[in-house]
Amino acid sequence: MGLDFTIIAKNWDYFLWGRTPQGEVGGLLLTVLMALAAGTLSLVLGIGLALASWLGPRSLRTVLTFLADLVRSIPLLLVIFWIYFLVPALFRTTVPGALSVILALAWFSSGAVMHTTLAGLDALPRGYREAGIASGLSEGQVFTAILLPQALRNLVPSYVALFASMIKDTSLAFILNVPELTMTANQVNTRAQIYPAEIFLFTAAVYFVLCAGLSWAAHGLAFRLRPGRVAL
Amino acid sequence: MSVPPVIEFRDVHKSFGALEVIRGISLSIDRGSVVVVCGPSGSGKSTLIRMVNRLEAPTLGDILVDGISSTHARGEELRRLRTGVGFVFQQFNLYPHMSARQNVTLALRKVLGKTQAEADAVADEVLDRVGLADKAGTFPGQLSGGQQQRVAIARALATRPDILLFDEPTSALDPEMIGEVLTVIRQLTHQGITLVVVTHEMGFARTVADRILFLDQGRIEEDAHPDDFFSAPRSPRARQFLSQILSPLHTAGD
Amino acid sequence: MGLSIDWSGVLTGQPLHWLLSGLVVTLAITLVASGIATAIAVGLTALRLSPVTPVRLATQAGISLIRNTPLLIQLLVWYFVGFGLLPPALKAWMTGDHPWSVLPGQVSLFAPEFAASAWGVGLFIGVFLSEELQAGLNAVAPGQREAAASQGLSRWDTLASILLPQALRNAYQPVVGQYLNLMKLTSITCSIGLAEITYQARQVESFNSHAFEAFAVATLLYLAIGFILERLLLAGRRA
Repeated sequence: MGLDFTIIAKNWDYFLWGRTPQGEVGGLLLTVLMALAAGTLSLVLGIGLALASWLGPRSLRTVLTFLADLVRSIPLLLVIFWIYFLVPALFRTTVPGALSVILALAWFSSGAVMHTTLAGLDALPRGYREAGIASGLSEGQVFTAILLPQALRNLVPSYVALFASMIKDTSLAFILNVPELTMTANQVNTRAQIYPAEIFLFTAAVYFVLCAGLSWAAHGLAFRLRPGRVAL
Repeated sequence: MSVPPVIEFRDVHKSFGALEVIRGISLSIDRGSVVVVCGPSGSGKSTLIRMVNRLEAPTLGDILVDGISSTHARGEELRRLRTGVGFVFQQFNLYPHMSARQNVTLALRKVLGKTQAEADAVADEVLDRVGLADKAGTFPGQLSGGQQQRVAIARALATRPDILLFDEPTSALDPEMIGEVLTVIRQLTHQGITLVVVTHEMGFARTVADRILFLDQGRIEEDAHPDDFFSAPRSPRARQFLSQILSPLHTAGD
Repeated sequence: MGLSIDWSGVLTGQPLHWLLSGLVVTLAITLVASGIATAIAVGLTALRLSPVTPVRLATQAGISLIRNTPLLIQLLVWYFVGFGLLPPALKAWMTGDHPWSVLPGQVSLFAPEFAASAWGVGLFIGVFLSEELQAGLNAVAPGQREAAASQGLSRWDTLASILLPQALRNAYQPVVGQYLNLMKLTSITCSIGLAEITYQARQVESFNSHAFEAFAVATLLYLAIGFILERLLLAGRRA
């Protein structure tokens, strides 16, 4: 099977940033931007939900967990379609495909962020809180000054791993004709017709480098930030 | 007529990386004898018996079981050798997802090729021998530590081994259960099976063993009959060890 | 609020037909892909325990490749590239006439979309399943392996009778989760043209603009399938 990668060489810039010079952000650049936007949103939302669960009554945690699990019981693609088709119908505005994907991803992943953050808080040794209380700090002070910073530090590797997942999930935007990396690859393939192997293997390689790189960074961070280690 | 030893160590050395745990041990164990191996922690006693059935491999030297080298045996030959050597672990290591009877019959079916019916018959017999005939269908999680260890002994007995090795069989047990396990082991003596027991239970050693091997820092410091070992140990380290073990504060299983 | 809901638009006639056909296809692809995933998971687990180092390394590399690329890309690769790589005899057989292999709605089990989807999703989840099994294996006490060795059990018997059953018990929840994931991921196969639930919901939407109703039905169908599947798999825990 002889592979001819000149098609990649001829279109490398298109793969990387699509039509950005013409004003329409695309390609790998769009993929990364979408992942960053969705990642930031889901982080804010997820940590917020975790804090509410942790500090609020037990019943709130149960309800929020139930709702998070409910969203995750349907395919992510369907969540994307809901936002894409239903928000315009409800609010009489159109939602660009990219934004639908970002919002859907953020909403979908916030459940995972909430679960992970709660697990991180649960995993903290009880001694931290007890030492803080014993030295006269209030519950709120103990939480913001001792528990939360330590938990977040321990959770950084998990968040990085979730971000890697998010990069992969942005590929679903392809189905809404959003010109991110996968769509871009498909466009090149449709035009060229005879190089599907080279095009899609190259695209897979790009995702692989990005996601495997992030996973590797997450492992490295997990090691350097492991509990007990004093300084970074 | 000289009977060949059933276990033979030939200048055996064992290192874990830079740590030398066994420093040149040569010894022969006669068929049917009851040998107790004792010594301070880190002396290499567990490693010593684990090398007999090749759970650990010596770095240098050779170990012969019934004339066959366990060090060099592989595959089919090693597995056959292992069915002739029963091993009882400190942590019992029963298979938690199987009942007592299933724990006992597994090797009979898979290694010795017995039918379910044959295996069940053997299982019921050995479980009865250790006093647990009524617990055959029970799972390890529902048994006490002493009961689990007795099932482990039954499991080791099922393949009719010539040799039984015990790696600190009572060290993981609450004190009130040590007796029931030692009783079972005691009943196995003088039945033609060779027993090698690593243990701290000196009372048991004194009454049951034919031979005491005292290990310290990877070497056999003393090799004597219990009467001689307990009344007049020759090496200073053995004396020190015995005084610690048998001090007034220590309640030996006497 | 400009939403007028008309259920008859999706629950009668052509739309109903489409949605039901989509349901059958989703169930079929879930079943076939699950079989493939299970076989791959067991195979990978065995390969990862191989004493031959190049085999272990190659397996790890393959696993890393599948885990770090989007499922959608993998489906596109299998769809555009995979079919062409099959041996000609197999291809000829697959494109032949097999009435038993045609599901309601004219979807053939050997159509490129179905085959690529079953294989693509099956392989993807198979890899994640083997990761869960590996985690379950790692949680099995080392004494178990020693006990089995001391009794003379072969490596295969040790794996099958002692290690895997305990690994599965340890990892039961995550394993069930992966099969549920598989069912949900079948929705992505609409992108390569497989006429499953999501595909048909879009079909209905473009037919009569009943987006809300169509996607509501699709959502309910996925929730129902997921609920039943989870109950079935969790009941298997008794075994």
